[in-house]
Amino acid sequence: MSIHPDQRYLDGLLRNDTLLVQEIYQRFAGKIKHHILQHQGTEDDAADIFQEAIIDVYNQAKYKQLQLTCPFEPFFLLICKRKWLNEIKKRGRQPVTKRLDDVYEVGEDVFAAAEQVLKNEAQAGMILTQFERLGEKCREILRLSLTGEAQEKIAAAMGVTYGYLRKKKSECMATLLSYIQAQKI
Amino acid sequence: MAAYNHEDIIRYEDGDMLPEERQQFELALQQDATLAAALAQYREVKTTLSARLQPDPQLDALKQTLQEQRPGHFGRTGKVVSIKKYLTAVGAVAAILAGVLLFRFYTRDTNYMETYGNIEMQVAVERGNNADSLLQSAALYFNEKDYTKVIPLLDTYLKTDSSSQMALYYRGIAATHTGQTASGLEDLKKVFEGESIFKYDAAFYIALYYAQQQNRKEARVWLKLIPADAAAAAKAAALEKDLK
Repeated sequence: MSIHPDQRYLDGLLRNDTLLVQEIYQRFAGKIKHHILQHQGTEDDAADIFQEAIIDVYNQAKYKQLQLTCPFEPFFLLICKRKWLNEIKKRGRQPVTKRLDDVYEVGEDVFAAAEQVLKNEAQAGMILTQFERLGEKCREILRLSLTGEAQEKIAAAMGVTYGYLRKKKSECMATLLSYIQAQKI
Repeated sequence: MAAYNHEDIIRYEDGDMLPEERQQFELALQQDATLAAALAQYREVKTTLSARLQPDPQLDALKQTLQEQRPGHFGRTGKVVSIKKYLTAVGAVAAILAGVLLFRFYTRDTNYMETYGNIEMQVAVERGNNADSLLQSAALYFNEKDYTKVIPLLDTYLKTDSSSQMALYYRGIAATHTGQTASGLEDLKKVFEGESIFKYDAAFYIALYYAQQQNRKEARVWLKLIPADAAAAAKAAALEKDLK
């Protein structure tokens, strides 16, 4: 599939192109505000969802090398709307039974791309949440171990032996995996 | 999966298994989908944490930009402003307004562009079409009078549809605003030579350009090319009257 010209939005986010961010706000903020106000939300909710959606797209572009093969507008609006729907559910409210694509008919490619972003970001969010449940020592060991630095150097910096670091790292990671596993059951 | 636990998976992935044990593990991987899924999960966790636990100055900068944009596009909490500040603001606005009116009084006869040149770019797009986005972005910049950004977007658009009279028309106007007068007038003349709905708008804009340059003779030549039943006829007549 060929890359859509709207890939420029993703490239712009990656280099923090302020004019492009401004363009995203100018073109889409009003639509999202309208949608969220119509669906039990406030302007603050709309601003938060909009901001989070931009960061989700940035993360996917940066860490998953997301490349846009569909237009940005329906893709981005769908992400915002889905995020808002999830938020309503999280708040324990009954979402209105209205189609998500009530403003735009979205193509399958748009739907698939938006879904992938939401799924990947939800997965990353869950991993980070479970990571935060670990004890401070475990978090520090994993954080340092995953920097790509030589493990011997990290052990020395932490004032522990290399063997201890490896053992603790394995234990901490196993604990984290069990937390993550429990989320899936 | 029953034979292996999380620590075994970690040891395998991190290269801490002895060759024989590693071989057995790989055999189990081929036969046990749960074990394979657990290994994939570990790889995902490692990749995610490696990426997201490290500082990301780019993301910090983007968040800062988002914070700056937010108040301009979403509601703000109302602020109490003292009456003194309010009066000062009113006074300042009144002074500016007086200045503007005075300026207009002295310039209204010659500043034709200000009177007649407020043109908005309007696009009718089919959602999902690759070129739509270019037009939409061009319209956004055009309507903000950020003409330098309009031209490359329309250049790109015209590469895919060189016959678009609409793109030529707006590119022509944008070019005259950025000092690229010759190419701008050339675009507008091409539009005038065509048969699109922009034909007489292009003639009007060329006339307006010459009027602004105080070249009344050339402006009148172009105004005379606009027939009485054209959409631009009314403003053409008004401009012609102003030129007398």
